[in-house]
Amino acid sequence: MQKISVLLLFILLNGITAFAQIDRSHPPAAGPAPEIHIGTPDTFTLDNGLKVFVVENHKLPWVTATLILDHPPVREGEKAGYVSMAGQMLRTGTLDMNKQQLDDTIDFLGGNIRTSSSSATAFSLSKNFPALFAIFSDIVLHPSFDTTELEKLRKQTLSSLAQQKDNPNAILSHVTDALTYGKQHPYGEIETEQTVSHINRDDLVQYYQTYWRPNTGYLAFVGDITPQQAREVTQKYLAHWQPAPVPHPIYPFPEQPKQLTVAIVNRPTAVQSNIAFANPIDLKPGDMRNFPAMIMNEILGGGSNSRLFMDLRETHGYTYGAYSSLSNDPYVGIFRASTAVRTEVTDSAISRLLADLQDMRTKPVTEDELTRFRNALSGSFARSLENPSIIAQFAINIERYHMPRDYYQHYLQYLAQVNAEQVQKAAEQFIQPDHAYVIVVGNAKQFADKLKAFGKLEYYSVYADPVTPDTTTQAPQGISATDVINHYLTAIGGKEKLQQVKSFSQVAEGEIQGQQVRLTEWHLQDQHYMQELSLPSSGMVITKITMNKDSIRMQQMGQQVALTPQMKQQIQQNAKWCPELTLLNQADKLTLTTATDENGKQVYAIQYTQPNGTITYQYDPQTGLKLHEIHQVQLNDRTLTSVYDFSDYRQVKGLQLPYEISTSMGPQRVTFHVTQIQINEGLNESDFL
Amino acid sequence: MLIHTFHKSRRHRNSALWLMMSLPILCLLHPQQAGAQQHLIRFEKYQLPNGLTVILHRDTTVPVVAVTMMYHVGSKNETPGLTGFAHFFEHLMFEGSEYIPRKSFEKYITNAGGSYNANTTQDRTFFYEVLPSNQLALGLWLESERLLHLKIDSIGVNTQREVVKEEKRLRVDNQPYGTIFIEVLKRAFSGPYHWSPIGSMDDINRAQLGQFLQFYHTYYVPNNAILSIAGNIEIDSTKKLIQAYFGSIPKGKTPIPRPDPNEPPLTHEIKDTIYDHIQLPAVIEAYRMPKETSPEYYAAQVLATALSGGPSSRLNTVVKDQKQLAVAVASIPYFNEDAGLLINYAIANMHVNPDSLQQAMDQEVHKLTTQLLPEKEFEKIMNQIQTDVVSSNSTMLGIAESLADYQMFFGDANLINQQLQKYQQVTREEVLQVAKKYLRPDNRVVLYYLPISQKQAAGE
Repeated sequence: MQKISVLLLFILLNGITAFAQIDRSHPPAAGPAPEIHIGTPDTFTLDNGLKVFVVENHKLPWVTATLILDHPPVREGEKAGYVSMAGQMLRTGTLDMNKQQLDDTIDFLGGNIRTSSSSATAFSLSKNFPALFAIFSDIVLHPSFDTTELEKLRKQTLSSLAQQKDNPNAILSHVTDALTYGKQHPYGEIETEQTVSHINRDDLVQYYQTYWRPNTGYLAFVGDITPQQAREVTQKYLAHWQPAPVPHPIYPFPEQPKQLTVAIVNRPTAVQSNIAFANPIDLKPGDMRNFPAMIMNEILGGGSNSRLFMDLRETHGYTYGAYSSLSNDPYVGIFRASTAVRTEVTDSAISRLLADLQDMRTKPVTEDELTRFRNALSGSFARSLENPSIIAQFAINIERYHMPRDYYQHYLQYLAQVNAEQVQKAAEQFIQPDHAYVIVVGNAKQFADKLKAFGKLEYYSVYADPVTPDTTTQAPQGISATDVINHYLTAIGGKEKLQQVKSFSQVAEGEIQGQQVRLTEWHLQDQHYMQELSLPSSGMVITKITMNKDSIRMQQMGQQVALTPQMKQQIQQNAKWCPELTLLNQADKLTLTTATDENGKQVYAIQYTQPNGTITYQYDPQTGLKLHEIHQVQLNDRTLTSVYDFSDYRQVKGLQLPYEISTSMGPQRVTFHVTQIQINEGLNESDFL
Repeated sequence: MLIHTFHKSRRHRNSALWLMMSLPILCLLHPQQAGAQQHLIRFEKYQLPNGLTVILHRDTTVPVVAVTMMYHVGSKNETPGLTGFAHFFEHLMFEGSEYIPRKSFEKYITNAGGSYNANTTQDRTFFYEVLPSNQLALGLWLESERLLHLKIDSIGVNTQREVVKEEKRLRVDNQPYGTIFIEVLKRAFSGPYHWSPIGSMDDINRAQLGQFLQFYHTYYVPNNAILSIAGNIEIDSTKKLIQAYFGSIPKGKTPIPRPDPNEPPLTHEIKDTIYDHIQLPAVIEAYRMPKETSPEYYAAQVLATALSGGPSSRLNTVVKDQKQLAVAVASIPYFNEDAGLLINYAIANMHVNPDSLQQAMDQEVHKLTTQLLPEKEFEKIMNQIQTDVVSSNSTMLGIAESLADYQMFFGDANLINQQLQKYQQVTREEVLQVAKKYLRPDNRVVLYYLPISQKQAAGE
């Protein structure tokens, strides 16, 4: 206590000095560092091996008890999810009380009890704590694993899995774990609808009976409780918990890719790309390399002053945040750097991210950075002491991971001793760009090609199964053919304006085999149509198609041509000035997919099926404009394909219309430039005879 | 630098009265802990001549200090066409000042081992630093500098514009159910609570440097702010430091505009469907509630606890557990300076029709409006609230914020010590009355969130 008074005196003096000489142009100097004293909890061990820690803190009248069971992770295989389910099931009923009774009793005490696969926590005001701890012990020792509750939990789990399919962060996290640890490692297993449906009650019971044993347990009491009271309740409720040996399976260290590998999870509707860089690391708790590694990670991406944040957010404005994390683990740890950026800058952001990682490995950090981030870590250590549970956590960690006894006591000194060389070495050791994955969850078509520059491209499903990169047959999620058509109609002027177009004529000129040609089309109410291909030099008509209410005719060099039903059908289709208006009423005949057009651009493709063939309309997903039409007609055993490309959209009477139309049929390709468009100007039925 | 979607529940406060009442009994039970129950938050409050309100709370058990500034300006002070402006400005407050170069504001804090952040609600903007206690002066320097000397230019505005837009994409646009809050506000209010602090992309694009400067001179003035400090401080020297750093900052020259507090009531149920990139439908029922200073506030909190406080609450037991209609349920009180909401929402279990989910939710709400809470349940809710209130205020930051909050919106920081007392005055009859008055279909917005794949099926 005397130390504290002396310290306060210092602050006081410092304060007065600062007042006398306040100088706004410089930050004020700090007072002497506050003395940090880490208390030692009382500990005792029950005969059954349960180790108990008590941290007395009477500031608030509350108590928390936390039980941690320490055993290696369990591989679940075909039943991934059962370990976590067993943990949740503990809270849903004991031999004496069903879930409803547990809920009522615990809530009535104003407390709460939570359970997970290898831990359980109880919290309440100290006056209600003895009653709450009795229930807590019952939950830990006598779970019923009721099958009705299991089915409820299964249903909830399946629902939340369905939800996660839409959550880019959840997808990123699953796929990162699966690739970094490997699906054979417990840390890399992914719960799916299928694995969850395989789980049965016996799996849960067996897990509980094997792993929930006091000899692997640590129990911490924190708050308004004395060691004597803690001893009494533990003896009373947990002394008869039976110990048993617990298996210690060994898992090989994950295999890493031979080169940097970009793993893409395609989400065509994403507006952002969620990106993670990850590689496994071999760094156990208590290892002294943790101190330089921690500082290295802090400088790189620990917070909003770190390099990644400064670079990707403050300098480039790519993202709201960019961070890295380095997690030690007794089995296998992980280094991860991640961000979420708008789709257009996916490749630029990855490029910056990788450059920042490389810098960390190849250049020593500056003394200034070292001091700043060491201070940051020291400060956050001091701030963490505000929560009394941390003292119990420290004591348990030292026992559990066989850490040096003074690890936390001298934590600040250990941080202070780290130098730039050690930091760089930590970066070399723990960041491995040549043997890592960059995982990207986003709209692949928008960036996939550009990511080839970084390394090998692989495609994965949301469950980290390899998938084929060809996504042409994949239907975009969450958007329908009608949406695409409506988008197009809006883009060219809106349905209302389009419906006001009664007649339409257009003149376009192009070149066929060195010969200038003119294509003129006249439309009236979709039922009257004429098309004429002529030579502007002589005025000679090469072909002419005429369609009216009664007939469809075609002349070639003045001669009537007999038309097959298929050809008539195609003409009828062409007669529609804006076929999309009628397609809207035939949604059942439309299929929407995404495709890549000949220019490598991603488009929305709508296939319209007719009796003798199909027409595919392709639209730009961004602007909504129509880019291509592909007509396929079945003629005996042959398929005739003709393609129309539309570009150079211009404004005409409030509508957006293409001024460049290319058409190809087989090897022939002609580009027409529109020279004249007339809308609602003097056409009537008699012009189509 | 984020948006508070929902106010922290103000329920988590301490009560002197309860402690005094319960102390003798506890003394008998645990005589050795008699002192432990007395967790009265003592504080000192005063005002500088320039109008800055100062609140100081001293706690020597921790080596930290929380330095906080709360400005009485939020998104409700924005004008239509410039939504998102207050939050955008919050970002600019980190751009530096006359003596703090660009990009170094945060550095000073982290270099000192501190943490910091800020957030914007519809009513106010809050900035804080949590520092080792020997760095108190640094916190005061930083906060006084950006109040006195903030330096913003078009480079900063344009960088932060992209950051804010990215924040919107991250938290709202690319988040399943991320637009619930926005869609509810849009329909529940017609006044300045109509839009959320994140604003619209168009408006964020539109905001200009000159407008920010005007906003700064209007709202970022000492007479519109509370400096609230909690931690290991010495009161007298702290006061001297505050005088030195804040005393010379001039009072604002223009009157501070306050939007019209009268939000017209809803006159009929508003029902709508939103299609989102989600798999499971959600049903949201948002009832209009009184403003936060209303005496009915505490009864409304009891209603929310009855509906979703703990696993034995009504929505959890009936809708989630017994009928298995939902994977998640919650009743969220959202109280603001001029109006409030009680937002009940449920995310449907797989293959559950939202109509049947809504029906089940409505049945539970209906019971609250027709029957008194059973005594035992009322007692349970009071026990739950007691735990929350007593165990709240466990961090210096939380205490500093609560003190500022009570002072700014209730005019009385000492309410931090009177919460339990307020709850103990609530009766079952009052809870029923409040339920009857507010939990009516014609006083609510009902939203169905449906997977976008159902849009086509619906023929739209």
